[in-house]
Amino acid sequence: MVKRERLGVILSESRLPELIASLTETYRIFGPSKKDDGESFAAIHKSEELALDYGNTKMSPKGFFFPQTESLMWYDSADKKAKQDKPEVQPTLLFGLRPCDALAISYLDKVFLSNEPQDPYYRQRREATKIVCLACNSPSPTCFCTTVGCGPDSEKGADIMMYKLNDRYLMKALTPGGEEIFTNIDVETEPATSQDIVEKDDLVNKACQMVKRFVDIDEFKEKLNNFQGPWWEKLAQKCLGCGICTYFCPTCHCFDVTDEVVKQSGRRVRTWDSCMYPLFTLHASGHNPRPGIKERMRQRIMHKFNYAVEYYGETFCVGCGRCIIHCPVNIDIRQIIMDIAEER
Amino acid sequence: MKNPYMPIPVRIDNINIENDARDIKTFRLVFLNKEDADAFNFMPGQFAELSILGVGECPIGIASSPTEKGYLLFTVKRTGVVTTKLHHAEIGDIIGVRGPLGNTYPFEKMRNSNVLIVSGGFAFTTLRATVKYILDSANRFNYRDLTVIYGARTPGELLYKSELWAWEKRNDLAMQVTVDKGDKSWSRYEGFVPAVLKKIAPAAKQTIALVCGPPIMIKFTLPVLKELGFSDDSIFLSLEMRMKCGIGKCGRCNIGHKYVCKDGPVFSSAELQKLPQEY
Repeated sequence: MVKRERLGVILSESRLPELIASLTETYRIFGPSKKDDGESFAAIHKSEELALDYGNTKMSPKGFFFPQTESLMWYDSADKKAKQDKPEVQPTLLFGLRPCDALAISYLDKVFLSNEPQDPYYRQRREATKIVCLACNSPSPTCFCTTVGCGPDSEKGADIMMYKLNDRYLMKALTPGGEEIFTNIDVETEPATSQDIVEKDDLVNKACQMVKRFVDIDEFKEKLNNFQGPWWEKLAQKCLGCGICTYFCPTCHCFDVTDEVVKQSGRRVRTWDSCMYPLFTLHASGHNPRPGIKERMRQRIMHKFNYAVEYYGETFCVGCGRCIIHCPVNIDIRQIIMDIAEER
Repeated sequence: MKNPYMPIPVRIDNINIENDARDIKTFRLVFLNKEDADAFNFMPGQFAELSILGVGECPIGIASSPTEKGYLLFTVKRTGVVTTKLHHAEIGDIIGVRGPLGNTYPFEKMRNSNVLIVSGGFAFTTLRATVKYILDSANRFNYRDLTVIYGARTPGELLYKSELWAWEKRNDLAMQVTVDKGDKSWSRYEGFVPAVLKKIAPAAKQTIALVCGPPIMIKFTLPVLKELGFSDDSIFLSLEMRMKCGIGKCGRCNIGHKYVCKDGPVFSSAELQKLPQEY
């Protein structure tokens, strides 16, 4: 058991294998994996498999709670009765998540859990999972978290916050869930000193300086109140409508529900969907309220920076930069924000 | 916890072909389990997802009133994949219902007011439920004058015909039926709904207007209502959108920051004016 300390605890880097070994006794662990150069989260059995110096994973971890495809129910033609599918859950730890991804999960919690009725599939996975966050010491060039209310040491969504100091980790339990993790592990730690905190603050400040703040986000949001703004036409010209931004986005949560039938049995499946596709809003009558790329791009930007603010009180962008990295025609959401903010 | 994605099993108890074109049918559905029936509490204006395993779901307004006990009515036009499959269904078939979903017409606001209903085509369904609800002897005294203006393209395209003719004979509502073009035996109004509304000119004072119909009807009805003196917060409209989850999560039916499935489908004209014109 790790004792609770006011400033957190210090774990020597050499004890990381012990920490992971201890955690695996209680939890299934997923973390950025060396197998894939830290590009993806994979099951972790020992600390050597972890790639904790990664920038950011390619896919966001949203699929742990909201899989790209999941069966909601199944049925066979004999009795025509729908039987509920239940996700298999066991105590799980997401280890070494970046603060932006943890923040994004706190937004997904709002979508799936804050309004009645709650989503039972999401809830079962979420309740079984705890999040150990690792602050960023060296953000990527595409990161813009500080512009959108996140940051290299953002704590929201994390149960435990970890900071990599020179040869050791500073760890802080932030929630009862985090304290529960501490009680479940058996590894030697020391209380953090004020000198450790100074070192941590210094690293965070350096990281913050590396993330360029490029625009006044409030000015941009103010402009979005003009739904008919003249900028959409021009911004949409470049977009192919491929929707890859929505698949990589850690806060995008739109989904489709379809029926799949094979021979005598079938299942009702939920899959990720994208507002960038024309079928997303096409009525059976043929009418489409968002008929073109302009309308659909507007929806994506407005949903994140305007509608979600109204609906959930949060901006549904955490500045992870995945949409910038993966857009095939180099659309940069930072540029969109700038263009709109600076439009006179 | 209750799973909002699981359809409640119902049996198709009756099927009524509503129109000459035979592409609109009213399905009477009966719950297989009594506890499901008891738990299904709704008010007119709400909708449900009709669910056919192996095919999919579609959102349809509930055409019956909660005062009609023991069954639900859904009037469905054959349009897409699910509605076509439904039109091929037979009495006795088991399907699913997911709901009730969405908000209701503003019954609290309508209390002690006159109610004006303006509707066209096959959008009359949840307003039929509203008429039925208000006319119920347990509710009628809560509302003042009830005026219903309902139109269709031709006499053969009117929904619930026998009910319409019965309502015409009653003295506790003013039932006005119009068609775009009548036939030889047609003796009622002829002309578009907005024109008939203008001719009848119901008083706007202490009146709540409920409007549901095709976009073109709504476009020309709203100015007439404004002319008659209706304010934007006394006009209520019911909207439709492509939907999947019906519970405000899947993200497609929004108009601005409102989800039609959860925050609607009923919106006041005042609310809609604050939202983007994207529907």
